[in-house]
Parts: sequence; C-alpha cells; structure tokens
Amino acid sequence: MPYRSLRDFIARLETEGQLVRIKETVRPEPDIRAAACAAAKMVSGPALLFERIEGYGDKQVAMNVHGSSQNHALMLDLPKDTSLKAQFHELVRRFDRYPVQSVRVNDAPLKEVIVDKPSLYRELPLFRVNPWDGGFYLSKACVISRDPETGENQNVGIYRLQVKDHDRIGIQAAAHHDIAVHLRKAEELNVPLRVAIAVSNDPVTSLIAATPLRYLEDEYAMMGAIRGEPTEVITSERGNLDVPAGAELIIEGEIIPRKRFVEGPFAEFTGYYSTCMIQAEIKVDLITRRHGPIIFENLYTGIPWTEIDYLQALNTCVAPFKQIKADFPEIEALNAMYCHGYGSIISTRVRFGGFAKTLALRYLSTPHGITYPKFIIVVDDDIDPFDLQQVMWAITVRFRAERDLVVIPNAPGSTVDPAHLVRGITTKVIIDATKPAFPDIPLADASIVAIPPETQIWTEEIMKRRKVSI
Amino acid sequence: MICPRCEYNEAYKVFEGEDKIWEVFRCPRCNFNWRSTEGEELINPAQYNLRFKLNEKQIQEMAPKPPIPPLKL
Repeated sequence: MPYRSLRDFIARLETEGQLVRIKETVRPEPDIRAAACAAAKMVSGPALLFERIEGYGDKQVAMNVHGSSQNHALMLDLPKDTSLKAQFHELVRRFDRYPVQSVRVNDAPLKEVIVDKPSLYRELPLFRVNPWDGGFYLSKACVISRDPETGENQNVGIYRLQVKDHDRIGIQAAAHHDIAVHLRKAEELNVPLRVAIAVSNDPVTSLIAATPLRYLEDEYAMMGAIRGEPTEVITSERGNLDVPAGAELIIEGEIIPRKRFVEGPFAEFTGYYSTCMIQAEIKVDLITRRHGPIIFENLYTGIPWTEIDYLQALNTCVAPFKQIKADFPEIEALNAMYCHGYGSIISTRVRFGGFAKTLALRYLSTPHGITYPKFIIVVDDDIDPFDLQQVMWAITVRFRAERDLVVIPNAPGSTVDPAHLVRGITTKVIIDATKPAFPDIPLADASIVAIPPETQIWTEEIMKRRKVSI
Repeated sequence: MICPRCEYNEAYKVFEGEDKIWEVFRCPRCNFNWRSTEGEELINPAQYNLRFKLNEKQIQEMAPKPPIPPLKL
C-alpha cells in the first residue's frame, strides 16, 4: 500500500486528476464548506486543497479526500474506475487478512514540534462546517483511547469533536461507541480518560477509524490488513497511546470524568442538524506536529451524498457482512451505504422459507446493526444490492406485504436519527423481497425471463464502438 | 459581548486572525463560538435563527450523553 500519510495520498490524487488546488485566498466561512459540498456532489468529485485561508497564514485545508468512488478506489490502490461492487468484494478479501499487527517507530514528522499547553485556535485553521453548528468541528479526526481498567484494548474511532476553547474539545461518545465503554469505566473509577486525537491521516487510517469493528478488534491491525503491510505507530507523549505515525498533528489530553458540557448542534450524516446536548469534554494539554505549514483535513457533512457517504459506506458494509457470513454463509453481499446503514440491502441465497427474516435479524444483532439499520431489504442472490434498479424490481415482483413485512417497534436506534419519537429508540422494518422457498407457498408465476446469453458479448461490442471503457 | 445564541452577556474574544482580519468569540455558558466575519444571522443576537437559540432553562434540562454511571466503590 503506497500511502503512509495524507500527503502521500494527495500526491497520488493529483497525479490521477482527482485533486484540485485552490490557490486563491478563501474565507473560512462560507467558502470551504460550499466548495466541499460542490466537490462531493460532482461525478468523480475531486479532493480539494485550499492553499490560503484568510487569517490563517500558510496553514492549508484538505477537503473531500474520500469523496468519490474514484478517490475510494485509489485509496485501495485500485484503478479509479473500479465499480463499487468490485471495491466491496476487494475490501471483504482484505478484511480476511486481519490481523496485520502494527509496527512501532521511534521517530516521525509529527514529533518535530511539541507544543505544551497549546491553543487549538492557533494550531489549526478552524472553520464552521455548517451554519448552525455550535462551533468549529474536527469532523474527521481519529480519537485513540485504551480501556482504563486493563490498559489494553486500544480503540481508534472518528467521533465528532467541537473546539470550544483554546484547550477544550467536546466529544460525542454515544453509548454504543467503543470509546463510551472506556469512558464509562473511567467514570466509574472517577479518573480522567487519556486520549490522543490524530488529525489529517493517511486515507486507510480514517477509513478503518470510521468502520464499525467489534469491541475487541484492533483497528491498527485492520488497517494493516487493508494496506497489505503493517501500520506504523508511534507512542504518544503522555498516556501510552499508539498514534498513527503518518498523522500531521496529534492533540493529547484527557476526558474530564463525570462532567458534561453543552455541545452541538452539528449537521450530521443524516442531512439534518442534531440537537444540543450536554456531552463529555476533553481538556487538551499538548500538541505534537510537523514543522511548517500543516494541512488540516476535515469533512463536510450535509444532505447526501457528501464525503461521509463514501467514508462510511463500503467499510460499513464489510464488517457486519463478515459477521453475518460467519454464521450464515449464504449471504452474498450487504449494501449499508444509505445514511450509514439506516437503509440496508442484503442479498443472499435462501436456505429455507423465511430465511431472509433470519438474516435480517442476525444483521440487527451485529455491533453496527444494533442501532443504525431502520429498514432492511433482503433480496435473492440474483440481485446486485448495489444496483437499485434491480433491488426495486425484486421488491415490486417478489414482496408480499401480508407475509414479508416485519415491523419491530421500540428497538434501539441511532441517537441522531431525525425521525425518532424517543431519542435512541426506533422502529425497524424488514422487507423480505426474496422468492418464497419451501415450505412457504411459491409465487404463482415463477418463470423468470432469462437474459439472452449473448448479451455480455454485445455489451462489450457496443461499449467498444462507443469508445467508453466499462 | 452578548452571545448571539443564548444571549449570555459575558461572551468574550478568544482569538484573532493574522493581521486582525477577524476575531473569534466564545460564550462560556453555551460554548458557542463565532467569527466576526460570519453573516449577521450568525453574529447578531437579534437575527440569530430562533430554531437554534438556547436559554438557561433549556441548558438545565439537557440530558447527559452518555449518561454518567454510578461510582464503583
């Protein structure tokens, strides 16, 4: 895997025509958010590098780094026109290489400058991501923590982080997030939870930090599996945390135990603002970083599709897919790309009548499936779940509402779901759009029209004559 | 300085950009941060979006996320 840092990946994106440099001076608001929104909504949307931001000297900002199928493919070192379905299967293959343990290095550029008692306003070119956000957010930084009871089970995750003061950062640690387990243990003991925040990382680090792994799984070992080589880590200055050696900048601090402070709102991946709540807060005491102008990578969130719909998309699919596959090998693919899996589509072979419901319920018991999925469509293995035309066809001709619709009220839900009646509680819907199998009653007209066998030959021939690559 | 969001009157300047091209302010009550160059609808208390305004009562009634667990003795 060729990228050891964000800078490495930016260079590759530029070579591939997937980076646009903005050399003119831009305003922190609203220019950065508007440009990032535009890039994410384009076909083959490029990453953006803002080289000059009003009032921030020579600090730079990178946006939309993961924000297209092309950028996602390049992250995996695949040809940029690789289809989503092919990228999904490649990710599944690479997940099987887990674990590839990280290696510790003794020196890295992020240790070039050590700032004791830093000011976040001075160190980072902060900007408001959306107008009614409660402040300036780090929306793509990776937070590292350890189980405070054992010192083991390190976690790397992306959580929304609101800069509130020179040395204060609000953190959203929802109860189902792994860091919330660490925080709960620390608060039971009334001790601070030490954290490190890695800002501006190589793309695979961000991808896996945004991936719903099991609590005991090691994110660094998964990053190594995806890269095909170990991830380099270096020890934090305080607290014995492993931080990614390729990061631009590390913020170190501790979560204040047993206190909550006003946080939010923040425009979430749902395309809606979440409400204000009182949440945990980090007291920052140290920053380590590169010399010279840093590149601050951040993420625009808004009405889908935006960059987050690529950053938590295929990776969201793979982890629960593999967890289901271990119990039910019939599953063929899982598309959990819609609002982080609120809408999910499973394709499967059907072992017996009613099997689709079993698979959907198994999905709901995966770590990701507990909260996020609200409606789950199950289709047969002749349907590509990444092709919505095929999925809609399956629903329209195979779904029988009186037998195939399952409604589960009062189930756990995402806390930022704008449709909730009680925050954190939702109603799950399963739509079984598979063909009924024995001992269920078969469809009355079960003779499917075959695709002419010569179709693929003709597809290739027609594409060749149009001079468009497949 | 009055916070545009919760109208607490002890908000203050925390930072200024190079050449003082803008200033950043923060509210110690609701933690709102804003920059002097943002639009009037964000920096003027009279124009701030009512949907996102906050008051002391709302703050007092906010639920903690995540909940604070009992101490383990």
